[in-house]
Amino acid sequence: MNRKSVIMLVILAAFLAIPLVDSNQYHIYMLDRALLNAMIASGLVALTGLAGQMSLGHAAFYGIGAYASAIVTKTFGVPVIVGVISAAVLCLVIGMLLSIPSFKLSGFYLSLVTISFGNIVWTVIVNWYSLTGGSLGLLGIQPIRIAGRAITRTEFFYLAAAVLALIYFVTTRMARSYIGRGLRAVRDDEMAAETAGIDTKRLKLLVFSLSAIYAGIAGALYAHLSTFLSPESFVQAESANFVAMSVVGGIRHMLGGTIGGLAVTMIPEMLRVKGWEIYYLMGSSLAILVLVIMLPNGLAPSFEKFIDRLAGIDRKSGKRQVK
Amino acid sequence: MAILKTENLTRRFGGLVAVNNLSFEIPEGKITGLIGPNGSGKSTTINLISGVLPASSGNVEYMGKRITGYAPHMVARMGISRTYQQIRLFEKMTVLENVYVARNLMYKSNLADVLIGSKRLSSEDKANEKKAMELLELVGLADKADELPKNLPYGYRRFLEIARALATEPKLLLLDEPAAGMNRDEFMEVMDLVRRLRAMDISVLLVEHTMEFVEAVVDHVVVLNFGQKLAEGTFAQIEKDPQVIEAYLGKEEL
Amino acid sequence: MLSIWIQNAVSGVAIGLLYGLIGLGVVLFFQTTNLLNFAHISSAMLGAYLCYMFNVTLHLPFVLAMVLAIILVACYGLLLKRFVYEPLAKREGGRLEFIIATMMLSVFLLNAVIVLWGGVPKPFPNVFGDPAKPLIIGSVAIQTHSLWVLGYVTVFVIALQSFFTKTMTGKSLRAVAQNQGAARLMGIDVEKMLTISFMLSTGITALAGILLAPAYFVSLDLGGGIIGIKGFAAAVVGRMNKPYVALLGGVLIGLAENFVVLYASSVYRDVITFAFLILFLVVRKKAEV
Repeated sequence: MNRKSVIMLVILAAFLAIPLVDSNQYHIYMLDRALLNAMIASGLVALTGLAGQMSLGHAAFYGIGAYASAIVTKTFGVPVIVGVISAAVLCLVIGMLLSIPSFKLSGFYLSLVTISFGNIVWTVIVNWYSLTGGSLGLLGIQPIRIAGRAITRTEFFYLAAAVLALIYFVTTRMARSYIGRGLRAVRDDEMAAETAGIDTKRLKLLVFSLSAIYAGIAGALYAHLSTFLSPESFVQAESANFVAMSVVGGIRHMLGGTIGGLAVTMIPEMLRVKGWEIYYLMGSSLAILVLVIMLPNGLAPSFEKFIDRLAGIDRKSGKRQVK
Repeated sequence: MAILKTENLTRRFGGLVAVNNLSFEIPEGKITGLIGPNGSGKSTTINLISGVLPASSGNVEYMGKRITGYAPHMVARMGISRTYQQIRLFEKMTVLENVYVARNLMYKSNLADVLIGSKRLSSEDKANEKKAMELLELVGLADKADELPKNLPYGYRRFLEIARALATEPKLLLLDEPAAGMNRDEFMEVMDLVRRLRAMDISVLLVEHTMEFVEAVVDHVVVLNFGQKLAEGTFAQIEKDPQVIEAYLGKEEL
Repeated sequence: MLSIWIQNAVSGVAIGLLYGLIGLGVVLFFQTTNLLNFAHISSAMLGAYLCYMFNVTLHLPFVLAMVLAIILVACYGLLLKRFVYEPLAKREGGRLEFIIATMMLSVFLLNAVIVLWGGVPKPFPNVFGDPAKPLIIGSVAIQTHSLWVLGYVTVFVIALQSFFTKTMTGKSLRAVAQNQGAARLMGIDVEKMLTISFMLSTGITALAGILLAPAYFVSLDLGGGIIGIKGFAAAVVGRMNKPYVALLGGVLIGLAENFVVLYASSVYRDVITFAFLILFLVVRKKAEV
């Protein structure tokens, strides 16, 4: 094992040890949320960084996943895992449908379609009282249970970390395979990719569904973490926030989603200083704005450079970045 | 024996007819030149054959099979490959990856193979990467494999595009002005490369402005004017055709 | 029945013209920069709040307050170019980065407004007449606000049109919108034209925001996503390159909204915008962007 992997493992271990050291339940809850956000941002890294498609409507998948799992487990009394799987399947189907406009549209036009999609889903959630409880929200969602008792926030942290690790593994495997090469070709020049024998529609279908599944799983887990859902969690601004996470983390880096999800969730929390509450949203949006402008490649490449320097690797040989 | 045949192929853009009732054949194993004055519909013809543009009417028949309306990637899978007049490369991928990715259609591995990292996938990867490298050697770019395309001189960018087109193992290659913008050395190299393609049993449709190039490599020439076929024959026959001379007169020298 | 129809048509056209004005700003900006500014609608909010401040807090006459507000927002457009657009362009930040930066900017401005003025909507002074005293023609009651909007927009469009056709700057701006490379070859200062287009699009949106304030109050809604998306929808109807068709697109959206509320439910008012967006985007022949 080389020095770089050792350093990465040490950082990972330190991160995983946080809930053991810090017993503040609110902090752990925010870390749980950060891991869920990182799942969604990882999907957007695949969608945008790898395949060049844009979505400003992923809060819709987060919401669909959350409500689907909550309603399925509430109505049929099935275990949470069944709820999560049905959320993933539903998001897969709707993700495939959303990929259809991408066959014809790209760039800004596609982003406007996804915004519309997000808003339509939100309107449905607010107005379908009998199913979602409308703006009053949905109460009494069952928590995840182990050995008959509800899971603690710390245990949820490790569960979410494991799911995120799985997502990272799947995304990385795909990105480094011929499928990943195909996606990058679609991103760089769609027409040239088609005439080079690449079925670009199929790849778009794949990457849209994949990112939708990630968001759906995150949503389902969120429903069982908070045991209460309100449409407020799935507004348009959340979609923008997810994209901000992927960009701040590094849209073209495999760790971008994870780093961005953690950073963008935690930055506002760090700025929540007593007596200055009124400024904290202003401050955090300004911080993200400045990060995007000053560091368009995101935090992940800088993070990797830093690790490389620690490990004494010169920059060129550390080729993990997806170009 | 014709590898590809068009029948009354027509393409309109609004009121303009870019390709008008065009019927011609590309003989198998030969190099066919497609020439004509600017705006005579040569590039549009290539776009119609490769499926990039849908035809307004008419047919394209490839090895006895109607391929009109096929998606471009299906056309490529059938064995027709192409290059572009304005070079189109995957700019954020390495030179090797540009060719390697065009081997995607050869893969039998599926998503499951990718996720478990199966033996089948790794052996396919190895074979396809090797093939991509061979193609880079063929066009003389092997030592630039890890560069980004933007770091290549203009002429080499075209060679890279040709290598990518060859990666799908085409039986018919459509070259849209492969020598445009090249210097003398590169020009000689690309001419040599096109000649070698014939030896590799690849039929070629060559759109080219430089008559020196056409004269040196083609077996057969089709002349277009205003989207219609004006004349057809060997280069020597075409050169003397009064209609062809008139079409070119004052526009370009033949 | 007919009188209700006419009332709804008039107010639909008036509000729609303002959506259209926002869309027109989007188109002008897109034509020169090839970008969408997701903080576009913040200019409407800033315009309304600044005008409110000058008029109500500082007791300046309304027209002066409005002009000052528009000028200040246009100056903000200058800052937007200098501190967001230029650094991103220098670092080869792409469209996605510009989208995210401007989205964060809009969140920042919303929160800045909360800090400065608080989050509670403020009623706009009745400078366009008292809503309780509409103009009665036979059995039709027409809000004087609608008539003022028609007047302002007409004057504005005439002014804009003469700016584009009569002044050198306007002509240069059109040349840049059509073909930046060619304009540069003709010796037009493209950089300067970009600056003007930043100021023009933010200024126009500020005007729209001020005129919208009587309907939406001086509130955070004016800087929120939904009205912004209505502007984008109007711009898409104008195919991102025809400013006056965008204006018309806004009118269509305004009318459709009013009649949906009349015959269905106000729940679906905003859905109309999205239906317009998807319809016009998907029936487009081929996306150029």
